[in-house]
Amino acid sequence: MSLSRISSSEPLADSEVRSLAPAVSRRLATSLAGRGRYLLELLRGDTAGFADDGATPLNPQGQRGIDRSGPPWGDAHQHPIWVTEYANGTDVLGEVPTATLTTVGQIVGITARFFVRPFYVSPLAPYSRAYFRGLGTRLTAGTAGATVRVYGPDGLAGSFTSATLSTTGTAQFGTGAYAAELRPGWNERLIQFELTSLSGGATGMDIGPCSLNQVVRRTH
Amino acid sequence: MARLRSATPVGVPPRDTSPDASIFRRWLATSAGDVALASDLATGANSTTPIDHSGAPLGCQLRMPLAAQHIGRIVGNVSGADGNYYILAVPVFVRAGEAGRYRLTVDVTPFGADSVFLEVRNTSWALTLNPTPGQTSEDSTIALTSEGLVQVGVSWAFDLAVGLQYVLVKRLMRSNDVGATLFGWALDHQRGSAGTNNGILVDGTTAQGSPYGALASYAPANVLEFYDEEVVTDGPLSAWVTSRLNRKISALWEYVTGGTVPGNVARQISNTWDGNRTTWSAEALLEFPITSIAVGASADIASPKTPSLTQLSGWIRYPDKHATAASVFSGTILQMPGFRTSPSDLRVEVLMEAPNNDTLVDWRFDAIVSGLAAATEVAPTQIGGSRWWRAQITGVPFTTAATNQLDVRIRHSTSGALTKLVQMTGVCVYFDP
Repeated sequence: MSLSRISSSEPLADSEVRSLAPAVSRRLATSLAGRGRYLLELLRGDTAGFADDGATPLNPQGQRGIDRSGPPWGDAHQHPIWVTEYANGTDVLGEVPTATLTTVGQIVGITARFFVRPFYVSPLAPYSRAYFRGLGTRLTAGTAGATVRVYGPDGLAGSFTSATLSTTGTAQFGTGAYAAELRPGWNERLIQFELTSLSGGATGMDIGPCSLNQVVRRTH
Repeated sequence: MARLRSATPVGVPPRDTSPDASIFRRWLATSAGDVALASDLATGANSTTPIDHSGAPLGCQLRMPLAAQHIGRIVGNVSGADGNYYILAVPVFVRAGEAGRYRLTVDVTPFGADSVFLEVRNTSWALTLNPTPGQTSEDSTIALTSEGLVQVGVSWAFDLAVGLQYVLVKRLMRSNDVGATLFGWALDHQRGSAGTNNGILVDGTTAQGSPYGALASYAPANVLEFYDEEVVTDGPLSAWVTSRLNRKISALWEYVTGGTVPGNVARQISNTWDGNRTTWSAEALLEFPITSIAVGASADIASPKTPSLTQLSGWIRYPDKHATAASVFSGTILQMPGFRTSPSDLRVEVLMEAPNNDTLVDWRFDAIVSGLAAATEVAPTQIGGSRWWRAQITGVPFTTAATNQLDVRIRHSTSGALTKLVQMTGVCVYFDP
């Protein structure tokens, strides 16, 4: 690898740049000059216009520059990675809930297959979890309760996270359920809905639109 | 005073930093100028075109996934005769700079020797990809749900252009294929392999004790500029310049990478995480696909009837009357990025078909996020003289960096029985500033 211009990722301590500090050319120049070039590479996505090999490592996509997939490759944007769709319009036909639960203890499972864009895998990486969001609507008057479980990659034999919902109308599942330890590339998860309670005349619950979303939380 | 800012990256030759080399004005000024350029590229300040991730030199492409939807619907042919049907017809949005190879996967029940074809059409309804049979995987059981259903994945690797276009999957449905199921579909970039760890040089996860102070944040109020007069030949090597330059680079580093400079006093990225960079008004507004959603097939309806009596077992979405009140036909719950809300750059594209070649100009479409005002309704327009129509809803109000319950609605301008038949097949949600 050859470089025609200095590149560096080394920060300087204040003590190295304060008055009366030894002016160590190599240290000062490497950091002050080199970090600017390094940042330009990250921003532009190329070798910053210099005819050399570049100094920044390739990002998780195998390309040069920040791709907003989480630190240190830029702050990660929030977005859904898997969805189901349901509407209950009064004058529209053809709509079917994601799941309909009518008996306490009834369990319905669906498989979520989705692609996770490459990211730097570390325990706190924002892309390492996908948070579940969903709507439940009780059928007829009364109160209905349900639990959603998102199983890990081992399926029923593995761990799961869950969230509960109790509603007299339409309500949203909380933030408790998430698919942990996502890996770059294809992922598959089992999402299970269980009707846990019916009271006051409610006859069941429709599970409406659902989604798995990344970067819902700042830290995990 | 003349602000130091490189027009293009200048850089410093390695010889200037050899041990015991003299400290030259040229590299100090160049360093300040290059950092100012990096700052302007990141923030869009000083009338600089900011990086928008459309490809070098304007930043690495994002390559967001375009869709992944669970459908789980019976699409069996109950018409009594064999026929070709579009079981999937959806609009998709490709960011600027990200034209290229994509992979579509459709999970269905096995279909014997019958092929499944992919078409891609542009906004003039011209074919950009001729009907192409997909590659079929071996039969497999959906293991996780224990449903015992057998499925195959049919996939295509194909090219998509920048902007809106329409992806259609056509399948020959035999009359005895009444149990056919469409499990789901996904559309993403065709990637060679997903990387994991690439020898990261920066610790982006920890924040520990500080050997030096840093700027409070990377914001206009405290980002320091450098001037030519501060780095003159034979002038003193001033800590005024070196310490400020060091701190500016450290803060900019955290702003760009989203990570923490090792040993920094505290994370400086709280106001930039999740892309919520409202501090910088000139920062790039990104084109950004959220998702595409299939809502029904293109299955002929000669007259209003219940979904179970349409030709594909009800995998169809259409209004049953000319109602003047808006009625939801597509509901989703989605996490939105921290993009600006005023004005909103969120758009919804609806693809629909007029099965009887009726004019659809009196239908109206809008989109609404729960708790917010609805977007301005629009009338659909015909696509290239075909029986397909589109409606593009712009400026959809949304809640930034939060969960949004997004409904897409339809109504007719006058009430009455259904005479102008329309069936909606797909929706695309995306940001396009």
